[in-house]
Amino acid sequence: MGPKSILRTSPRAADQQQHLQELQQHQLHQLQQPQPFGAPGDAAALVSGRLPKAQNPQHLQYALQKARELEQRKEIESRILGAIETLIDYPLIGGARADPKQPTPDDAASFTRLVSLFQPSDYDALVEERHAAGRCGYALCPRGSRKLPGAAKFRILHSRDAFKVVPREKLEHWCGDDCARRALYVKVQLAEEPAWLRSRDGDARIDLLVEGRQSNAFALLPRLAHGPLPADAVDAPAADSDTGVSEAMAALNLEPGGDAFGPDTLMRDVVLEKETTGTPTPPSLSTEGPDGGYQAIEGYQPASNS
Amino acid sequence: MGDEFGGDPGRELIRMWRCYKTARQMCADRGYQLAESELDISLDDFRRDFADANGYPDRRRMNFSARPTDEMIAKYSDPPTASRPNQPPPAIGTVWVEFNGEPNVGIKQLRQFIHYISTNNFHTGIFVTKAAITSSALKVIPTIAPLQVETFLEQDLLINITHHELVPKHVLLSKEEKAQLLDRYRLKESQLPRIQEKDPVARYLGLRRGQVVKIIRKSETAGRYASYRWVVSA
Repeated sequence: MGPKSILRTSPRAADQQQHLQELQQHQLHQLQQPQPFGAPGDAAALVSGRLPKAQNPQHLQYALQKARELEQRKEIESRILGAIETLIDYPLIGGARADPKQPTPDDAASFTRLVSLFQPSDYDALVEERHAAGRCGYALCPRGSRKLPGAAKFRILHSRDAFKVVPREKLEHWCGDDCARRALYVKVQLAEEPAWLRSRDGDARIDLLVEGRQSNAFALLPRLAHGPLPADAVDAPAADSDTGVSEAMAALNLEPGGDAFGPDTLMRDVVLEKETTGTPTPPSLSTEGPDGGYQAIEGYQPASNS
Repeated sequence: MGDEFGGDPGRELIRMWRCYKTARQMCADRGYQLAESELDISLDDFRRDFADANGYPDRRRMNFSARPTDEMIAKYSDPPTASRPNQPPPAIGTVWVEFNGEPNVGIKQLRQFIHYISTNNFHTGIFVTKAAITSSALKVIPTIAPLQVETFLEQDLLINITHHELVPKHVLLSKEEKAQLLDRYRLKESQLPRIQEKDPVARYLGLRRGQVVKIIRKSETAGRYASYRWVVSA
């Protein structure tokens, strides 16, 4: 027996003519029916048009507010996606001769501006994308990603106090350890909070790890985005770079939203113990009690046979 | 994963042969015009047509396109409405299937693919990759509507899941058939059981949100049993 179905899955050729006629009649029928909704357009009009009259206006307000938030979120997400796509082709200036240690001010400024919207996960996505495009994961480096010899899936990294087992792909994301360090330096500054929840847009300032050409010490350039630095700041001796570090650390402590938070205005947790009024007793299983003991079902004591 | 076969041209060729057959069968099952003989190519024919000098499969030669059959066009056409008395164009067109063997597939590669299908006026693109596509590249796909891009891993196409005995037959309903169904049972579409767009069979058939699929199962008591599911996005 066939299934009790109203639909033919494969109309035979003889049936097809009749089937078509039925369809046409059905379409005519549909034409005569009034359209339930107006033309889709203004979302608010549509929402209010569908609601019964007694609907609470507060609920409508709330729904609209949520809808706007979602819209804003989508807009920012598409901006982040666009930023990732733009940054795949960086650095723009200098071509293959661009130096990740000394990025041009234009590239550095646009890079920090684009990246300020990111969460750390978006930054990982950027690194992954650049790797897929065969480039070093640090966006201001023009070199290709390195290819480690051998076919092992994991690598052991030695350091002074520990060993670390790292998947090979993670190491191949960068052209070298220096770029990995520079990229990580940017990543740790990104806010965990998604951009659509941050208090203000565009205030987050990202610093780059820039190396002086002569000295081996890393110097921090806190305000690279605001113009080229004087030459002596770049080649600063180690003593001067210490003050730079402390300044930069102080700036890092600030919330990306701006002046609203600082280390002093953070909330303090105070633990209050409850006062003890008597000696504590362990709980016991008693059949009698105010609520009928453990056998009670919502206060009702079932009759027991035992 | 694919790497363990990477060094052996014979195994790589067999893998791609199976992918190619499944991709062809998938297009035929969706309703694209493909000759019966093209669906089950033998390994020897495949080797002759698509192997390079070293015996590795040449993925660029495996790409193919197919036009929808009249039956499929009818299924994807909107019935004319009061506001649009002329028949609107069907939501289906030629399909382009491309195989990509690169070790990393990101936005760049996907953009190239999208550029190719848009310049050649394809309606749907099916992108079969050896490596998983990066997550941000997948976010690009919804932004290029009305172009449709579907992505599959080679690994997912090694076997045709619809040939498994536990997978019942899924049949897509046209808009009219859906309307008839809802009318017959006096239902709203939201009252139907659901199937996710990312369901393996839904991906195989390229189902889209809002469509209704008829699932025909074997039943011990009733012989065959039909149920209907409404496609929802995940």
